[in-house]
Amino acid sequence: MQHGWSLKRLHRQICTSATYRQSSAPDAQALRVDADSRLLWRFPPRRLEAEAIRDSILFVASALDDKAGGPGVNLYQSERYGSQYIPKEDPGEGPWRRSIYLLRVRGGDDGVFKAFDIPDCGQVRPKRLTSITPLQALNLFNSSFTQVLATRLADRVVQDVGEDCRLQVDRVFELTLCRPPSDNESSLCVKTARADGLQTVCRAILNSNEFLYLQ
Amino acid sequence: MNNSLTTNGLQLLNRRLLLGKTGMALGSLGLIHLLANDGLLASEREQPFQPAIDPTHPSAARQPEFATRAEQLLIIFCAGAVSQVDSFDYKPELAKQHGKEPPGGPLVTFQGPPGKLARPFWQFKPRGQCGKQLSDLFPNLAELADEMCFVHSLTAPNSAHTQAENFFSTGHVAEGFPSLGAWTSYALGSPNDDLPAFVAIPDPRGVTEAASNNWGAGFLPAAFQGTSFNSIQPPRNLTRPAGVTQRADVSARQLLAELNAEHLVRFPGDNELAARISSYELAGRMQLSIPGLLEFQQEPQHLLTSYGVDSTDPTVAGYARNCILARRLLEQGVRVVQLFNGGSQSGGNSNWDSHNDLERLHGKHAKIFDQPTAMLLQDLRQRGLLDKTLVVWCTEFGRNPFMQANGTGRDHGIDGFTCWMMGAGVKAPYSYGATDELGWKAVERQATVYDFNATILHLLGFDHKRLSYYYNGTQRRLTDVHGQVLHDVLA
Repeated sequence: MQHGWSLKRLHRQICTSATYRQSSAPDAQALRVDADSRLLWRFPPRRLEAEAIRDSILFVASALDDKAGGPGVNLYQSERYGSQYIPKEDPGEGPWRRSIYLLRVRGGDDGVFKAFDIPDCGQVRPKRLTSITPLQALNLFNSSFTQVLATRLADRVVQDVGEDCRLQVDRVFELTLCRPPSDNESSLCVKTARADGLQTVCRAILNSNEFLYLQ
Repeated sequence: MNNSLTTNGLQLLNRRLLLGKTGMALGSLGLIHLLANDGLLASEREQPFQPAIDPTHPSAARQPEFATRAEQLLIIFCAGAVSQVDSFDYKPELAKQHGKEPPGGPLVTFQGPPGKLARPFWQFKPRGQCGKQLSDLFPNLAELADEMCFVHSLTAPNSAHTQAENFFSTGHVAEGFPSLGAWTSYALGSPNDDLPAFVAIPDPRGVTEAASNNWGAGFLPAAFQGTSFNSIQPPRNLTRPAGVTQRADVSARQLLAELNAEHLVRFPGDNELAARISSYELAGRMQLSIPGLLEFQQEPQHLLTSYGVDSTDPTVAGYARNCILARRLLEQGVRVVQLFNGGSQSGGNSNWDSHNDLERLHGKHAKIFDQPTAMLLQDLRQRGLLDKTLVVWCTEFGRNPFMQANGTGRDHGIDGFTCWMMGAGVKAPYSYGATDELGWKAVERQATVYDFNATILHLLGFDHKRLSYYYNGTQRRLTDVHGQVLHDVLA
């Protein structure tokens, strides 16, 4: 109040505080006392929401159409009744629009991301749940969407850094996890890329906990 | 308990809480005495019951609220509305009044003005030891009369298929509420880790009008939604994507496991990250176990034949295979199997919705439904599975005892229709309630779908008034604020 009700000042004070800036890295003693971080000694790792996962995959693969506005995109092949909408098997050529522009239908399931706790449109939902189910794993690991985008990501990386496997792996880590790989990670990924192609590495990383969690 | 207090009000009157809050003041003990005398004190029995769910393993098997025989649930759903007067509800008076005007006219039903009263298209005969009168529409199922528990007096609140299906499966006419199967897997989890706790098996002709809402999780955690697949269409994304070799697939899976393991070292003790890793392992096991369920080579040929798998009619063969799939899932311990007969309405060609030419359409669907279903039930009995499996047969509503104006079909009837139960915990042979002498409106021991669902939950070991999930400020239940257990159908 003394500063003319300035919100910016308040934000600055919060953001520069030691509490706000403390590391979210785990701490052995704190984990022992409060593993769930009920007392907020750190920001607990949190899975990205369905839409953020999809958009992140598209973004790192350089396949995201971030145009604002305009009509939505229909992912379904049939248009009978709401819950009888059947999603297309083939994700298409891209570029793909952001998830907020996808057509949503009551009872509809896009075939990949609904399982990541997108609420049904038939209900009002004040807060989303975060669940962990094998269907999520099947969808993200086996869907043609992930496969097409893993290949796109691999193509992009080759374009960015050329044919050197080690540089390719560095670039995939930089794009997806915002950090360089450890020596062990690097050698595991280079081995896989040489044997089964860079897209195999990309498919694994797009499914990894580190990619899917905010921490 | 009959009073005007809200659920929250009742919670506040929980004996322990009240004692705790008032610090054992003598005055409040007096108050408790007064409240108890007035029947206003909530006993333990009225408190919401919420299963203790391990967030890292939401589908782990859980104990019911009270001991019971039924451990598993098979829901057989005939979509489109089966005519009770042509199948399970014997009304000699209707035959006598054949050709007369329906009473109480002029009437308008779902599709318009009615025609004349019409006798059943199939003959009724006494069946089994009990002599229950059942029609020739389902000759094979009729053989099982001694094991069936009929509820003849059901009523539905809505005469449109989609909404009535929603109501039967979720207790709500609108979409988006948790299904009976989802409530059950929420309550009980599943003993089999390699398969989903709740499987919905759509008809070979496609999904019904309300489709996935019948097996949706609504506001319950997504882990409890039904997984839908049948003998023709395995679940989506069950196998590696096109263009990926088996070697590359194994290699990606292995690399993922190694990267996750390295990541987890940096977050020791984080349950959620560990649970995600194990969800990939479970997915891998499902990838192996589900295709195995769909391979029938180990089934003896005579059994395949009795189910009807050899039929030249692809719908009969497909539905028969779905029945075998249902049995195999139950054998594997899957908690809830929802088996559909009939797809969407399509003028009565792909489901039971017989607005014209009922004799031909019901006849056609009965040929698909009767033999494989009867064989499934016999097979379950033979394997001892009926001792621990509750079977419920349902249809979203019934049909009228009079014709439509076209003179050949029956319109939707919601004022009195029949469903039945069989298996663990059910009294049989038994018939609950009755419609009037024409088979039109429930008059004796009228029952609602809420009552039917409350009874199913009771048979599975839960009080439908207690099993709940806190959502949007309310303790939600399958039966909303309704429902009475039909105690007479319990064994």
